Amino acid sequence: MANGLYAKAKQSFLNKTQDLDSDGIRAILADAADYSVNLSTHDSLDDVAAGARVATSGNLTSPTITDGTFDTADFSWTSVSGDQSEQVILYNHDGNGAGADSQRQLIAFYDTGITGMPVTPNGGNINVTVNASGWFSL
Amino acid sequence: MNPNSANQRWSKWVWFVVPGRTMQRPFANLKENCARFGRKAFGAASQMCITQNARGYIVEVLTEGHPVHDGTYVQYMRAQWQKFFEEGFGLGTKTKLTAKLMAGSRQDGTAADQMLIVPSIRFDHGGLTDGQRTVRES
Repeated sequence: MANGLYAKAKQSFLNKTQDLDSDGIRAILADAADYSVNLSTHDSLDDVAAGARVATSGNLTSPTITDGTFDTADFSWTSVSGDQSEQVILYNHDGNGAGADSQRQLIAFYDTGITGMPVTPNGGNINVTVNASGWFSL
Repeated sequence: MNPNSANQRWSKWVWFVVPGRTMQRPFANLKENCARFGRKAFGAASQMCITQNARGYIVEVLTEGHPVHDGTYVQYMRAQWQKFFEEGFGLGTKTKLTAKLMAGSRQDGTAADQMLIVPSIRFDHGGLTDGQRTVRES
């Protein structure tokens, strides 16, 4: 698979149902053995099995939207243990009052070109540097 | 590059610089001087990113092999860079340094940190990299 935006996320941007610099955007470290992405059909967090989620961040800080580019500050998953992981998934944790995984919209998927992947959690922190060009540009 | 392989230690150093009022410098001049000084301070195997904002500059360096867990070393680097910025911008220049271990051991018995660098997705090329693009003829 390749990096990409979920089709339903693009639709939600056009329908203005996601506000990326106001909603709580979080990142998941995921195990490719337990999650096979489908960018066309997967739309919410319940499409990602709980067992595939090795670590989940808090809300990413300093979100910005500038000239179509979404960016945040770097972040860490702390004290991570679990399976070897190959994927990073960005999702909207609380947009539109979402309170359940079935309401939390998936945004972007990364499994290609990530420096340091695959990563085998060792109980320590995993520090993530967001690209200088942001998460994605439309 | 695998920053999570054994015996590597990656760190991120970020300076927030508010220039003194006495000496204004062109941005290009600043970048050139910072790159030159950074190569001396950290060695060539480092990445530097400099951004300008309303108050001053943010200089970020991602580098390998420096003992960022050693407070004495961080103090030494803080003093060296403070001197560098004061010589460039004049007295009254304010700097704030944050130095963070990104990958490697803290040598305190805790698990080593690991690092990921996530790429950016660009859709101004149709979501594809240059090598994947095809020419659409009308």
